[in-house]
Amino acid sequence: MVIMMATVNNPESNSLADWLNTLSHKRIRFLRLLSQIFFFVVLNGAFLGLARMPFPAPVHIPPGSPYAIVWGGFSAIQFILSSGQFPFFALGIFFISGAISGRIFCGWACPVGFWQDTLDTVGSWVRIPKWKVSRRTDEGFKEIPATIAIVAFIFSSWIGISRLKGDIVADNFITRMAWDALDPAGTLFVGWFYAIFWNVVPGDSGFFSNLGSDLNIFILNSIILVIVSILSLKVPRLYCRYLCPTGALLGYCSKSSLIAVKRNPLNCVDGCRECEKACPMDVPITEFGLEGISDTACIACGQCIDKCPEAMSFGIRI
Amino acid sequence: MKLQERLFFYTMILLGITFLLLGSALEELNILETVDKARNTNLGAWRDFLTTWVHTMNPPSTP
Ligand code: SF4
Ligand code: SF4
Ligand code: SF4
Repeated sequence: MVIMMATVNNPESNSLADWLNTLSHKRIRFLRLLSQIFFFVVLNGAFLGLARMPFPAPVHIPPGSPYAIVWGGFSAIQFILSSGQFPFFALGIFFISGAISGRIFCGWACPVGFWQDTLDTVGSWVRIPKWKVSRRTDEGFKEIPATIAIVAFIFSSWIGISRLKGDIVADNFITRMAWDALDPAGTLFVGWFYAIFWNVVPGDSGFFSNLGSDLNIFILNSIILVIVSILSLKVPRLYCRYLCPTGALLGYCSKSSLIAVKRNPLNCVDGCRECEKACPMDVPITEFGLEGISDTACIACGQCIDKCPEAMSFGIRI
Repeated sequence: MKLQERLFFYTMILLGITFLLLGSALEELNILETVDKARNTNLGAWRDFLTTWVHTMNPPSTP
């Protein structure tokens, strides 16, 4: 209990030195960082010579990412649907991985989630105060990713059916993967990468030229990216919580996942809630107990376990 | 695990396996492979090739 209180009462460290000193209290965070770096390199392994695979992974990899070796699952779903086929395999991957490991890929492997965690860490280093999103606002905003997923699903199905009927449909980014054409993660991993490393700017090379005013769209996308990035310094994992349809789909499949984070109420101090403060996804942890957290937002990141190893733990349900 | 959660879990697993088999039978991943194959054969010409790919979503006909 003494150890637990010591852990719980530690003030949140902000500077780089403090962070390094408290690494022993952030063992899972450190392991997760290693895992995120590993997956970032491997999933973008084409620059190491790894071949691309036509495999839809249960993470978000913006399509067109120059070195990505697999497909982001939700992009694959849109692409297959808009080709006139139902995405059985891609959805199957989501069902199986969600049912077994929940959203663990969000916490430990997704390159875009890694970008979000990095912004959160940078925000803490430069001591940017975090915003606490009220429960009501959070509940409202949480509907956005699922809405994006449903709209994109319907739109891609419509395009696919039109193709099957033999209608002439333009073959471009919007008709293939509508969400990804607006996605700020795509702007960062694809659009900006092209602009910075290869000097390919929309408007002068034909990049996005099928949209007419391509440069304007790129500028609009860049503005969205900058706003999302700045807000992510203040709200941890903002993109994952309020924008990502991949996370929404995975979350829905992971409500009763085999691997889950559990809270032991016997070791819990009434009214403490330090775990909830540490949670980047704002999960109401204390509403759950030994049966495991079944909130669709939980990404099994383990921040709560780092905060309170006595009461919180990874576990297997069943 | 409550009965309802257990049912949800097994439904997801069964549906997942069925969908994976159906998707394999329908050779669904070939749709993605068409794009990947074209990208793999063009490792030497990254910029132009990928630009074209992003631009039209169609692999260029000549490497
Ligand atoms: S919510 Fe989306 S972007 Fe965030 S970690 Fe999950 S898949 Fe990646
Ligand atoms: S589980 Fe959460 S509320 Fe309970 S003691 Fe640990 S940090 Fe505090
Ligand atoms: S509940 Fe724990 S494991 Fe789940 S997202 Fe929050 S901090 Fe991470």
